[in-house]
Amino acid sequence: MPLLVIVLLLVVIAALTFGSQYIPISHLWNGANNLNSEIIYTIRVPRIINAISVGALLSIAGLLVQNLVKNPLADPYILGVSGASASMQLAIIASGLIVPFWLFVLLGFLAAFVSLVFLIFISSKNLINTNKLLLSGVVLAFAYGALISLILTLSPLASTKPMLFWLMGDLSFSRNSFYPLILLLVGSLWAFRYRHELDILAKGEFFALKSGVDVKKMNFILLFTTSIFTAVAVSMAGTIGFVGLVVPHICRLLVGNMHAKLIPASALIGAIVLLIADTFARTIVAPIQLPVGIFTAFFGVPVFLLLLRRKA
Amino acid sequence: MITIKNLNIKNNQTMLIKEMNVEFKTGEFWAIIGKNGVGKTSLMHTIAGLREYAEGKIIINGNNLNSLSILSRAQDIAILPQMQEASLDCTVEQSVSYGRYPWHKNEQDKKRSLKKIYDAIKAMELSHLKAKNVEKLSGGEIRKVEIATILAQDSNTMLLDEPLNHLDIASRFKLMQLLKQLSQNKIVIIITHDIQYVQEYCSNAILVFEDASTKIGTVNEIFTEENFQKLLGENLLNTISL
Repeated sequence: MPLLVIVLLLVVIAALTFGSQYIPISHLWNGANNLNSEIIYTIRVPRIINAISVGALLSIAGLLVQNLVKNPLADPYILGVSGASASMQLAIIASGLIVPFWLFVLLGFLAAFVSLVFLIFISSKNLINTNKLLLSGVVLAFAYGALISLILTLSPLASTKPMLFWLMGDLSFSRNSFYPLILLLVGSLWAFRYRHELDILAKGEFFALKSGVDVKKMNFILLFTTSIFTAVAVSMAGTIGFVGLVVPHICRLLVGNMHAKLIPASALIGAIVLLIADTFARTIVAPIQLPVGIFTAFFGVPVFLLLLRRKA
Repeated sequence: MITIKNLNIKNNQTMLIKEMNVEFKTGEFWAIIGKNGVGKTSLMHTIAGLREYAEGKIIINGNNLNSLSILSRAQDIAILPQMQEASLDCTVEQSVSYGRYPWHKNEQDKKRSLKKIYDAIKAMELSHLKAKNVEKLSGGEIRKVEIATILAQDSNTMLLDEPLNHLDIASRFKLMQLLKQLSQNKIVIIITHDIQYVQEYCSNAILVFEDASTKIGTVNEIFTEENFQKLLGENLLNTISL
């Protein structure tokens, strides 16, 4: 774990240095000029905080949702949780309504929560049926995709490009970047509190119930936490795929199955992956900035296929 | 002590267990016997509080089963399911340690918990496999891990649904001896189709018939030709010796 913290610090330094404007490392603490100082403190630092928070939130949400549905192929993106939140928030943006940030997040959360509850309701009876749930989730994600396309089609052309950027994952909107950071700290501790229950629940609902775990309560906690984490991540950065899917797998390979290690490892590796992807996104064809979702997909798809092959 | 009064268990509209009355006491080793599909597992799950029942009362040490919290119920009753649906991707030691979950909040002495885990692993002769991933074990070894997990749970009542499945002959004898020994300080209830083991090791039995009725008593009392005629439904008594 200390190694991951060191790697994250190194990536933070790289993210401060690289971008449209290259700022040498020495300038980071040897008194940068006004312009560099402005770039670092008003653009890069909030964006880095945002990338760390969103990456960590998505990874932990992926870890928790995989536990909830007992399927390692699940993540908030695949199950349509991100899509539900994004549809709601995109509808707010497209309608031109100006709502406070907390309401924007709350509505996204409600959409995500209702979608996940609906998904579990239609695909499971008493205990969660993982295969049915995964397929239903994929279908639901398609429905949200169609809804998003409809909103985009009906929106004025000028506002379509920023919306598309946001949908593909975009960290350039970095105001309010402390909100997700606070949620990450509180939410991670909250999830960590239930580490023993999560270990047992990962073995199956019946096993957990017979072992004394309050499965209904835990499922509600997982639904709630996954929905709020996803909603905040989507509000801050749009729909970023593959982080929530791939990072928990990498963590299981590195630290094993115990949630006491998996939760902090997911947070750290999620933060590292998204920060690296975002640094690439804003550097590779600078000054043009690309949506970070493109890079997480470029990273996530081969890594996931490799992990599946290894597992097989 | 577990007291069951006028218990009715239904599966949808089908009556599985009708008007069952029984008392399980510490020091008794019970067997539940019956044909496939008559409701033995449903009965065991009901006693463990994992299944709702239509009518009746189940009282555990003076407390109504339904009033117990999920955690205290697991402190009172450990159950080994017939088929494990649990994910196997963890080490033997990890898997057995999950049996200690009901006690983890009150357990002051971690060493005590560790001792129970190691004792359970040792009792099931798994010490040499404790660091191995359960996924890589044979069917019989996996069954031993599952049994070790409920041994580590150390509840007052142990329910085991066909515990002998997948075990080799020597392990079957050893397990039955161990359960008999444990039953001196606990209530042990097993579901099995091995009547010879029941005759040799169990003190009491419940025969579950296809008409949802039950016959309850000591093994000597209820292992009669008449009861087995009703239990088997066909004239198969010549092929088994009571």
